[in-house]
This record gives sequence, structure tokens and C-alpha cells, in this order.
Amino acid sequence: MTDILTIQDLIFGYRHTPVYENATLTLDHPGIYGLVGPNGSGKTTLLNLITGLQHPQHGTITIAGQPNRDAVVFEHVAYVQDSRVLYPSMTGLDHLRFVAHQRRRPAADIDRFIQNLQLTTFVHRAVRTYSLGQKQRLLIALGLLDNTPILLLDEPLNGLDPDSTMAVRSILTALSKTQRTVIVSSHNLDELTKVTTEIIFVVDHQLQLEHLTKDVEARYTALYHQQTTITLPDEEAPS
Amino acid sequence: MFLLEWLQHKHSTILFTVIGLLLVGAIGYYEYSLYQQTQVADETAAEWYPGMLALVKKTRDKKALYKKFPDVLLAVKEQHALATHNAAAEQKAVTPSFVDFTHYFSPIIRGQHAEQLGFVAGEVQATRHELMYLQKNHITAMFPIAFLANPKTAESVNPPLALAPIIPIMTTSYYENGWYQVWDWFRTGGIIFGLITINLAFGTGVAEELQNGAQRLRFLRLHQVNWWRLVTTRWLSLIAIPIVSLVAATGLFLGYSLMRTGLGDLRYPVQHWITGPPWDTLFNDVRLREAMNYFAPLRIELMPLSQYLLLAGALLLAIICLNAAIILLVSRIVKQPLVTQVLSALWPFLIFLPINAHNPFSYLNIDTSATNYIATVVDTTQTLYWPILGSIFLAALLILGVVILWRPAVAKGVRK
Repeated sequence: MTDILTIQDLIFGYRHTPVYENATLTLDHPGIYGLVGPNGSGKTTLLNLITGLQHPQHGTITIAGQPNRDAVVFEHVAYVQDSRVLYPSMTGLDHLRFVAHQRRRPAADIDRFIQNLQLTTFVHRAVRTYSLGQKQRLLIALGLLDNTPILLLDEPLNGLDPDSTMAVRSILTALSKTQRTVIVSSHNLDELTKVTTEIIFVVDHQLQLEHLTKDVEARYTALYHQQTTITLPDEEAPS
Repeated sequence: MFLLEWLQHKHSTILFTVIGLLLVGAIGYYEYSLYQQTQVADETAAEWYPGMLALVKKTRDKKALYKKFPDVLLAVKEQHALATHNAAAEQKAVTPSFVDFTHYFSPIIRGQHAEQLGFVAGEVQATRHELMYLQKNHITAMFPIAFLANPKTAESVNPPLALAPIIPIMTTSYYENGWYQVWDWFRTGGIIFGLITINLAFGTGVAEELQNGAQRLRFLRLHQVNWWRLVTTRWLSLIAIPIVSLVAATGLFLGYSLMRTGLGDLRYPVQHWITGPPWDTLFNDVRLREAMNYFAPLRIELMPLSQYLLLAGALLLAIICLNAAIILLVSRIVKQPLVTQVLSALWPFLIFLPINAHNPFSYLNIDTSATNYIATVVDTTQTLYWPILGSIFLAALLILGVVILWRPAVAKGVRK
């Protein structure tokens, strides 16, 4: 069986800052994968590299056994980026129409998405009036409308209020029951563990896929040597 | 990609606002022109040309004036015949209705006192030529009939001090009907101000896609809208928007002018400079003959206004294409929508730089190129219209090509 996603000997860096050095990763079965790493570790860069928006200095990335050329990416991958991709003057419905048109999906699908993802209350308004949570839900709807086997979500939980967080979690839970492969980059370890047990850690310029059933935070601390208990200067014992 | 362009603009009220602004500007300029028409005579003019003043005052009664013009034009013909065959009998043949007119034009039509007025015979000949054309085609002249002084003459005219105030009055036309106003927009560059307004509203090019680390460009690329498609579609959009705005505003303006003073006559004569044999002069004077053929081997001919508007319209289309390409180039460089809009609105002002052979923007002056007056500026006998039109389109395509080839890093394909 062909692997869903394979990254082989990936080398990438910005000038004097290496990001990946001979990194390797294979995803061979569908499911939800968390992508975890400290700020600046290269999570977004990895998603950009997978989708061909950035180019590796060395190594190969294959999707369903094929190099990640534009046509292959279009056919297999949907990438939910941050809300700056949205056009402020267009409505949510306009964005859905555009994606449906590019994907040659019938107009009826749009209505179904609006209903199922509960976008009805705001989808007819210009995006400039949306809250962050509404933008995020629209972005995920656009990604789902792409209807590809692989869905990449870049920090979908950032800055969301509890309602929106629950809505996104609900979507991810539903996705975990499909045959899709979803990679979710996030700092929110609590939320991630509610939807997946498979985490890709970006550590020491490498990609490390781990199956975790408990205490992801402890694992995170161990990997990144984070000090979890911070002592305030005023509380230090007098010498 | 065309769908995205449509979706971006369909909710926007900016297009309607721009059309409204253009319409208000056009109507304002038109009303101002009509107001000025009634104010052309001042006290000095009245002193020297009481007949002219009397005629000017009659502009407030348009119907009477227009009714009168057929007689005036007939009288021009009679005057011409008299001047050439029987100068002695001239005064007897002047019809009563022509009296006012002759006060103003008669000496000039006969070639007399032209130098005293500071004009050269070229203008006398052109004006006479126009009057004959109007008469032949039964076209009502704009009022008052103005001397067709070309820019070179206007600069060099040096009348006696006492006559100086009259010269602007004698050479200023008031474009009193709808189509004549459109002609005046091309003549004065008013249409370029329309383009500047449109650029201020829509001139963002691809800056929105390139700002913030080109996030939108990434989104589009992942949806099979590559850089080439984005740029070419945006270029076509930046062409379509000015055309729609200008056509809509012009259409509404013509409707307004139709109710106000009428559309005018599309056969109205417009001067243009083409190669031709020297004018035969009615005047037995070597200096006047030379002056009449000042532009030789070019000479001033007349074409119908409809032809002029077609030529000028095609030039405008070429300039709109160039404008769209320039906006894309600016947005590719600065990547900021607001800065792009401001720079896009500034560049057309270059068209208003003084016209001379060393200023390439002189060729973008629509009136100068459509009438081929540019040939006299660059001292050639060729008709430069088609080379200019082609060059502007070519420049637009070249700039577009540069923008297409200058792909942002995120727009480039995966290297394999």
C-alpha cells in the first residue's frame, strides 16, 4: 500500500538558521496527527514544504507516492492557513463559491457545508466583520470543501473563544471518523489530546512521530527541556 | 479567476460611487462651460467689438441664435465670393442678419488685418475652412465661433496691447453640447482625471495578494490560480473597470446633456494635421501665403467629430491597458495596497507635462496624438497615430510581461 505522505532526508533552513536537517517522516494510515513544537521550530514551514509553497534545499516529499508538484498537491491536499488569506470585502459565501468553483463541486455542496458547519448566521456578511472564531470556522469549511484526502490545519485553535474551540474540536472529532489524514499544528496540547493520540514532534531539526496515550505535557517537557515551574523573583528565599 | 474578480466587486459600492463622482465632475465642468459662454464679453471687448458683444448676449436665447446661424453661414459664402471677385460690391451684398457677424469675422475672412490682430494666416485659413465645412454640411456652429488657433500660434501671438484682452475671447470655444463636451475631455485631458479617480479607488493591482507575506497568493496557488493567471486576470479586470466606469458615466452625462442643450453633431469638424499640398491662398500676399503653409508639408485638415472620437477612444483604451500594467508593476514593487493606489493615481499626471519632442509622455496626450499635432512637435511629416497607438499597447504588454516573469518566490513551482 502506498504511503499517504513521505518526507525523506529533508534539509531546509533560512540563511544561517537550519530548520530541518535530514528529517524523515512517513504517514501510512489515515487519522488525526498533531504537529507540535516550540515557536519557530518549523511547524508552518513543514506545512508549506508539504504543499510546495516553500522548496526543500534537499530531500523529497511525496504524496500518495508522487512528488509534491502543484497538480498532485491540488488533488490530494487542502491547507487551512491563517485568516489573512481571506478577502475582507468578500462574504464567507463568496469564498465558498470560489473554492467550489475551483474544485468543480456542485453548488448544493456549499449549502450542505453551511448547514453542517453552522455558518448560517454569518456566511452572508463580509469577512471584515467576522470574529476570529468565525474566520477560523470559515477557513476550515473551505478546507473541507476542498474534499482532499489530506487536510493540513495551521494553528486552527489560536486565539479562539471557548465556543469556537469546541466547534473546531467537534469538526476534528468528526474528521477522525473519516478516511482523511489531518495534520493539526498547535500549541494547545490539551485540545490536541482530545482529538488524537498521534503527535509529530519537531525536535532537534527532526520529525518524530509518537503514539501517546497519556501525559503529553510531560513528554513535551522532556523533549524541549522546558522549565514547567517558574518561581517569581519576590518569592525566592532570602540568602 | 474571473469568478473571484466578480465576487470581489459584486458587493462593492465603490464602483457606483466612482461613476457618480465622474458624473458629477462631468456635469459640473459642463455647466461651468455653459456659464462661461455667457460671460465671454467684457468691457474691453465691448469697446472694440460692439457687434460681437451683441451676438454674445444672444447666447442666452439659444433658439434665436441657432435659428440665425443658417443665415450667418450663408453670408460667409457670400462674403467669400465677394472677397475673391468683387471686393468693391462687398458692403452691398451683406445681408442684415450678417451684420453682427461681419463686425467680428469679415476682415479676417478677407485676410485683412490678420497681422494687426496678431494672428497668422494659417488660423484665418483654418477658421474659414471650418466655416465652409459647417455651411456645406448644414451643421450649427458652436457659439461664439472661435479662431482655430493652434497651441504654437497661441504661444507666439503678440497682439497690440489694446487688443490683447480680445485674443482669448476670439480663440476660446465653449463646448456647448454633449458630444462636444466629450471632445473637450480629450482635448483638455479631463478624461485622464477620470482615470486618476478610478485608480484611486481600484488601483491596488496585486498588492492585496502580496502583502502580509503573500498569504492570499499562497491560498490562490493552492486553488490552482497561478501567478500568470492572477496577473493576467487582474490586468483584464483593471482594464474592464475603467471602461465600465467611463462608459457608464459618459452615457449618463450624454443623457443629461441631451435634455440640457442637446448632443450636438457628430459630423462637427475637428482639425488634424496631415501631409498635403500647400494651401492656395485667396490673398495676394507672399507673407500670408507662407504663413498659411507654416506646417508644410503638413497642413490642417478637418475630420468629423465621430472619427476623432473613435481615434481618441482607441488611444484611451491603449492608455487604460498601459495604466493597468503600470498599476500591476507598482503593486509588485511596493506590495502595499494604499501606497499602490496613491502611486497609481499620481503617474497619469506625467501626461500633463509640457508637450515636446524630448518628453515621451507627450505621445500619451490623446488630443495631440489623435489630431497628429504631435507630428509638428517632433518635426515629422508622418501621421504618427498608428505607431503611437501600437507603441502604447506594446509598452503595456511589455510591462505586463515583466510582472508575469517577476514571480514572487511563493508563486514559483516546486523545483524537481
